[in-house]
Amino acid sequence: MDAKKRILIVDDNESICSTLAFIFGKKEYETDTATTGQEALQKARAGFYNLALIDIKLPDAEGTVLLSHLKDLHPDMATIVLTGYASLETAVQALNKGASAYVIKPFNVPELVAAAQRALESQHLVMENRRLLDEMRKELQERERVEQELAKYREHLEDLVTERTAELKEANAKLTDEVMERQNIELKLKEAIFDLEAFCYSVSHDLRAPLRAIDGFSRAVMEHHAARLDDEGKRFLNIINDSARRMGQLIKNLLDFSFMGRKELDRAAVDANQLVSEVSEELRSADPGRQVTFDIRELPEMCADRAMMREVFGNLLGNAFKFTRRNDNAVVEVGGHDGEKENVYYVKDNGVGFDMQYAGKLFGVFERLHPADDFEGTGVGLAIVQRLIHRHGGRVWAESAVDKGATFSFTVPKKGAEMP
Amino acid sequence: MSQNGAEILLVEDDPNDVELTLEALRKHGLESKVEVARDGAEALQLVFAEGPYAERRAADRPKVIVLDLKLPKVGGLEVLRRIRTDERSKHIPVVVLTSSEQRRDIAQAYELGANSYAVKPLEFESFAGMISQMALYWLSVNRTPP
Repeated sequence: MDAKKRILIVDDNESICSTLAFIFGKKEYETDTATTGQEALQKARAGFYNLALIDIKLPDAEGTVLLSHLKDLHPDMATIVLTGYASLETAVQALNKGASAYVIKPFNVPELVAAAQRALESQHLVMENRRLLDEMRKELQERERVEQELAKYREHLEDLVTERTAELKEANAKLTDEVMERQNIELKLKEAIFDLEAFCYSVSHDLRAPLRAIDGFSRAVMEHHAARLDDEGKRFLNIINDSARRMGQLIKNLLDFSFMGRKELDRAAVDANQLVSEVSEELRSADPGRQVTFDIRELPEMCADRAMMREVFGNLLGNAFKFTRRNDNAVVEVGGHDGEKENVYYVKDNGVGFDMQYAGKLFGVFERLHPADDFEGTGVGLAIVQRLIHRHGGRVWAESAVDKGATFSFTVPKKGAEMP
Repeated sequence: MSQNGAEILLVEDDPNDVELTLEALRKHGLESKVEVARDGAEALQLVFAEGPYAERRAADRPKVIVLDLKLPKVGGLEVLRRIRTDERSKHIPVVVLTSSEQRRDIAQAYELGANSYAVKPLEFESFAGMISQMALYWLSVNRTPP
């Protein structure tokens, strides 16, 4: 198990050296010998010895001086001083220099071996002690290190917790802000809707009274005071009158537009053929002088709000009717086909059409592509159509060219396929 | 203002509408049959012979009340409610004549016991036609309870 303990024997008498080497060799020690202090130091520099047996009288050095040097080299080395005469002074000197013991020459072997064994034992204990102390110190250091590290971690952890808490707080505050903002927006929206409703009410009620007065009194002037007006005056009065009516129509259409956008959707199966023939009959009877051919193809049934779809066809057919006015062979074609997820319907005319570069403005509120002198209208009809089709989850588009007629198409999703 | 009650009580705050109404009735020689209240409070005083109209007799009560809804002081619907909940006036025909096409107004007016609800047309011709028809119907065709 343990490596053999090493003993350095220093004596100028070679036979003593070899004798001691022999004796300790037999005791399972590793031995080395030196006959001078110089040699002993050399050997000690080359390696560690557990024990040095030093003759106090060496040719080149005092044994006690050598002892000091050896102790400097190996503080844990045990030393036994061999002395030829029993001098208390020498013994005390040696012990002061750190010798473990002294043995008086001529020595008896068992006594020397016993002294050596004791010295080795004590040396072993010293070394073991030192080792333990070192270990303890190391352990202590390690513990300290770990503790420091732990402290660091703890600090870091605290930082981390503080950081995360701050982050959480911030996120929380943000969330609260967002919730409050949303609530605020909702409140504002509700207020806006309320305002809008109040506005609609006011528009429908209050704005009309002055218009009636303008119309009424301009007519009263025409009726009772026409004789005092020249032609220009009468023309001006007519303009006032027409403008008042036009404004009234605008208000009505705008209210319709607003109402149609808010009205609850009431979906059911709608017979599109019947709806279209109703609308076309209505248009015909409103303007019996017009010669218009309605070419109504077989239309698929639709799942939609009937009143809204009547408004859609009313506007599209009404437009087709209106914009074919200059054509003596006016034809309005209405068709459609059954699709997988949606039905497509179209209203096609051979009227004046429009330039496709303005198609983007077509469905805007109050957008018109024709001068009012040519074709009357308020520019709300197609906006209503688009709004109603969008509310059904469908799409609406137009294709046309100037003087080549126009085709308006729209889709209505099938039942269960409607978009949210 | 006539001390004796007229046959038509027009409750209307817009002076233009009042004048247009009278203009429309003039053609039929009916303008003298009209008395005007400019707000809801005056209308109620007229009907119940209160305030400046304390001298009125029951026989002076109008044969028909033409009532606007948006009125100063006491609103049209409230006037209608009070007329209908009072024994003295609950049978007087009330025609609501207003600019409002709001479903809510129409529903409430009938709920409170209006006999008719008409929306004032924007064009004077239609307006005049409606006023004349209305006056002729309620004064000549309709029979009031004895």
